[in-house]
Amino acid sequence: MARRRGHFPNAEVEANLTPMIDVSFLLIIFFVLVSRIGDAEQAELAVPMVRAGAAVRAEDDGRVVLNVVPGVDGASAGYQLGSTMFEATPAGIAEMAEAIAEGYRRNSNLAVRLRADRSTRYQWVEPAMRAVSTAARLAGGGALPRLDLVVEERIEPLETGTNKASGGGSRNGS
Amino acid sequence: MAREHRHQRHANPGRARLLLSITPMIDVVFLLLIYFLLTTGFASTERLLRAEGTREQAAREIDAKNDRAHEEALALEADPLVIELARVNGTTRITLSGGLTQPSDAAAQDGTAQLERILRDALLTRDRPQGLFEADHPIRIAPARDVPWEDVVGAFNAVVRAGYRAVAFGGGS
Repeated sequence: MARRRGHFPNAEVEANLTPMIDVSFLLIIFFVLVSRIGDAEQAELAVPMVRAGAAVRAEDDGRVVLNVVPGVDGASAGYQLGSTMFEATPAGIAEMAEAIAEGYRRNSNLAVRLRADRSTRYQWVEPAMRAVSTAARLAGGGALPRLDLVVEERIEPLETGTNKASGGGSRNGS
Repeated sequence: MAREHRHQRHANPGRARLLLSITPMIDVVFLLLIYFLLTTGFASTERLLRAEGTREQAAREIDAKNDRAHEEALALEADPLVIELARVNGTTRITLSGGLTQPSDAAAQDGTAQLERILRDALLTRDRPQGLFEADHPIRIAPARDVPWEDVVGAFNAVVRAGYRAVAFGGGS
């Protein structure tokens, strides 16, 4: 080996960057997929589908996500605020309201994003909505509850003149 | 290959060949393709319906505590239009107050479409002077306890799409 090396006194040493770039890209993809930024605060559930037009795009500033975690047969298995779980009991809901109030104290314009499964019954969602109002009252300082309902929009074909056909104010005779 | 190329170049400088290695480029292009395919799939399709009614309601409560005159004014405010949602035989039935036409019994999806049509027809605007309610007329959605959340949100969406702004929840059976 030593002799062979001696035959190439002017040999150039080159660093091949291609494998390093390949590996770097693979690492970037790996961490992008594994980290799943923001997903930790979103419970696994199917949000309601609504007709398109009224809903707005979700922005990421000044908000907290409140999940009504779906349970069996339209019930709730608890509430998840950010990544913190609360029981679906009066005590748990009171704790949750206090946690939201803490958020309002830090940011009086905080928006609470309510995510609930489409099959969850209203009786389990209503306490979460009420907790938001209670939290704003507990926080004081003029905090106003701002509640955003998380939905998905249904893509529908264009309506074919059904709206045009109907007349004006349709008050019954009764 | 590059070493061979250099050798040829040194040997015959007048006939140098330029070789372009496209392998690294293909590597990188494939990686970018995979990256965008995967990340595009994870983009959220979720949207938000703003329930501003709760905000306005709270503002009124605060004002009412501080201002007696405001409380009296509230007493004179028009009765809210109530949309009751009840669960009957496994479907959600929508009932409207205010003497409006009732949505016929149908699947919830059709029911909310009808609700939207009825409310839009009842909206008082410059173009529709025969309408009955202004856009900021208070509307209250009163779901029963066993109504699925999707039907509640569907009714709320229908009211907002019809053009009303002051919508609140509560008061169901």
